[in-house]
Amino acid sequence: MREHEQRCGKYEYWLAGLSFLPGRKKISLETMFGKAERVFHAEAESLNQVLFLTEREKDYLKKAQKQLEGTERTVEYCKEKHISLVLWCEGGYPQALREIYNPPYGLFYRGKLPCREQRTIGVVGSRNCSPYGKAMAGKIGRELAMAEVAVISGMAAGIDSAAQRGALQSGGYSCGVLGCGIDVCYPAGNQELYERLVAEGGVLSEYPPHTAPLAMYFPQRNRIISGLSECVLVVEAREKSGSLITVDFALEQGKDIYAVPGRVSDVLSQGTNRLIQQGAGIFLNVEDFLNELHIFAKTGENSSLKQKISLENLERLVYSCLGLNPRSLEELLMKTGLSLGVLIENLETLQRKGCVSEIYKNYYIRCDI
Amino acid sequence: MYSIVSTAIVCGIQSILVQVEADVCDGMPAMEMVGVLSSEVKEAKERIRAAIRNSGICLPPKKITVNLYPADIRKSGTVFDLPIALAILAAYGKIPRKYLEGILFAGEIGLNGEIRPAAGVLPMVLAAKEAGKEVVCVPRENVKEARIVEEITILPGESLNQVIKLIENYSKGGWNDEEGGGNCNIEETETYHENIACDFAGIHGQKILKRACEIAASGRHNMLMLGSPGSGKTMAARAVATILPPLTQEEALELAKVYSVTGMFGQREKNFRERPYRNPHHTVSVAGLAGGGAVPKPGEISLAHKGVLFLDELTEFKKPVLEVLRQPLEEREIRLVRKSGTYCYPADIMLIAAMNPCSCGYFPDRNRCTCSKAMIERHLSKISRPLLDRMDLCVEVQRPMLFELTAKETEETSAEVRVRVERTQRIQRKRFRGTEILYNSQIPAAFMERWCSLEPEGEKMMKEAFEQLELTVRGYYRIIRVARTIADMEGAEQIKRCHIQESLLFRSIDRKVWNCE
Repeated sequence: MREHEQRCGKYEYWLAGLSFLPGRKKISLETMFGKAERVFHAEAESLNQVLFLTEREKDYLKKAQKQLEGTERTVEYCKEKHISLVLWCEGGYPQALREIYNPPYGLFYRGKLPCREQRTIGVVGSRNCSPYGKAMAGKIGRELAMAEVAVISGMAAGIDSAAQRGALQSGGYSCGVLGCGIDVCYPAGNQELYERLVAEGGVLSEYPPHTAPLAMYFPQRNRIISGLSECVLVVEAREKSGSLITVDFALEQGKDIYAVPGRVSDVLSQGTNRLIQQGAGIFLNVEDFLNELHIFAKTGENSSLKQKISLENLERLVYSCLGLNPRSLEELLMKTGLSLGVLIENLETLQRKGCVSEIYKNYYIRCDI
Repeated sequence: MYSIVSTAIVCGIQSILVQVEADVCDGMPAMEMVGVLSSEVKEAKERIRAAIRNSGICLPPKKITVNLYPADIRKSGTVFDLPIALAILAAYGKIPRKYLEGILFAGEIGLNGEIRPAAGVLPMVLAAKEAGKEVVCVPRENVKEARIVEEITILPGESLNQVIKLIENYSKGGWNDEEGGGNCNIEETETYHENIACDFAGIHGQKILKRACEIAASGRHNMLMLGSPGSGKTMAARAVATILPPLTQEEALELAKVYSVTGMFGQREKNFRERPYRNPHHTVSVAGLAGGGAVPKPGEISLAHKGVLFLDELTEFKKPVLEVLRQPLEEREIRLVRKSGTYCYPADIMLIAAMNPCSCGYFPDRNRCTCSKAMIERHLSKISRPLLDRMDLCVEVQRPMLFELTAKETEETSAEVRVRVERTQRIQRKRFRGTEILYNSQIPAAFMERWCSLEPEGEKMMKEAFEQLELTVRGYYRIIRVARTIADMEGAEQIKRCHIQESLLFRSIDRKVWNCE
């Protein structure tokens, strides 16, 4: 720890905190000058001779050289909040990230970073997902965690957080890659997931603390998600989806892509179906999926709820009319042919047994798959 | 010479008698009018002068003084033209003063002497009757509304000359009530006309929605409908008004007064006993909804008194407009305080509101809806918690499927449903006899135990629900009130488990219902 603090001095924090420079240029600068401190003190003349910096980057860099108070505050803040910084040249830095085209110079993180021995899979998808996508992502997260595979994702609303919640639920490791400062929980509604990730998994970001979640940071964040993962699984995506940026990065980095198929008519599955058409692997179940990656582990999410909980005849009838697509009360009334009173009674008991949930006023889905 | 004529002004939906005195004497020719007059009353001076001249009556130049008393009430409105004109003529000696005795006059006069309709005639006639007057002279167009009041003679005024003749005739005993169409058109006010245009039978399928409508109508509960555009929310709201039992004579009269003071009596004329249905557009202002103005007029809430107020696109209403609903929903009347006094309008309404689940309207159909969770939450937050707390029932409305629309099955008509609603309301009236309460939705918390006894099973269920759904106390009682209505619909004395279950199904939304991730 002491050694680490020596390595990561305020000049390293300063260099890591420059958000206008891509990671690879920071690394090149540091190698060129030998130390981050020397970059900070570099003469204007020697900076001018750096070929890979654009004029604008040089200007910004010269301006940034004079300011260290902000960095000192950041160092204090990180110490106080138990935020660590790992640099590209340190042992704790994920090996996989070093190999990508534009590795981050340093990673701010809380909790644990993914460890070298563990297999990693990126699970990404739409933020405004359907109940089907949400249930699939949750199931995938749980089963991957059971196979001791780390789930890498972006902690966004929808698929990302469903998968990460699933992984944590089964006691697995999951890592959230943020597109904002490490201390900023975005979306704010995911506070509880954020806390759990800090405690049981990890959260990391290449941006310094307090960085606001701006749209321009997120595509760059996606290269870290794919970079950390051996393979990327897309659960749900529209034809034009941000998740496809992650896919592009993954392809660039030579990773495999898998996609969860869906109905042709579902807008949210059009992106994933298209990926399969273009040659992505098709995801049918976690066991097959892992076998293809040569991970042979027991995924054993054992049998559906139906077998665990005994259902009455009528309950079974109501249950059989439900799926992962939300069904309204009106439709159920017509499909089951039951009277309103009987239907309500059975829905109530099914809800109590945890087989069915009301996802929206008078709309119901199954809870398991 | 001096003369005096009775008239009345409208104050809220009540009316106060006002006397018009006129004095004519020698002096500089002029006409002075005093008695706290608003500008439209002051302008009467010019109208009257022209109207008298154009009626062929010549007034020699003299000093005319007109006083309206009591002097501490601000006189506004246009009904003073006729009484002032008659007072002046009497003061000039053109008509005998005794002709004007015991008669209340009201009406606006045109420059040609023609008498034009006025607002608020019904409350005036009622006030006249209360004050012991036996005859009222009102504009011809307002005769129908004036005739609702029984045992008072109505003289229809058409023009200044005709009125002079009319009162002459009357005081000589030449007036025959039958000639004027008789006093009572009870037959017309007693019958209930079916509103065929928006009958309940017109809604195909949509069993859940219809069930919710019937519960809401039976216990007079407020209802919130959620659903995508074009799913039939407006139609259902219109139909709810038709399954409510007809107004009682007393209620109809009170409502007629509201319409009378706004000059909209014509709308009640055709179907006197029908429950009103008002659907103000979402751009309505606070004054438009609750009533207002320097001289207050009733707003949409009062026009929907004893009937249905339907607010479509609830989220589009301005927040202050929605908040103004809260007080009348509790107190069933609106009190407007002005410098000139406090005006009280009745506002006993059944509120039906409709809204889309999200700004595009298609949630939870993710094929069409791309709203993010934050957007949906923002959409919902346009409606305040206290208002949501006042919605007793909430129902999801789904677009009917084509085969339902074209199905040959005949649906129940409004009249058939109304029979059941009436029966349920009779049970309630019997239960609340001796109190001011009429419907289950009005049961105060203190009387819950007395009137809403739960079966042990149901009690257990409510206890679970209270904890699981994190209900507020208000929400808890609301569910029991609705369950009471459902039990009454079955004629059950005690509230059973199944009643609670159904009530929970239709419970109002909380923010958590949108579990949209």
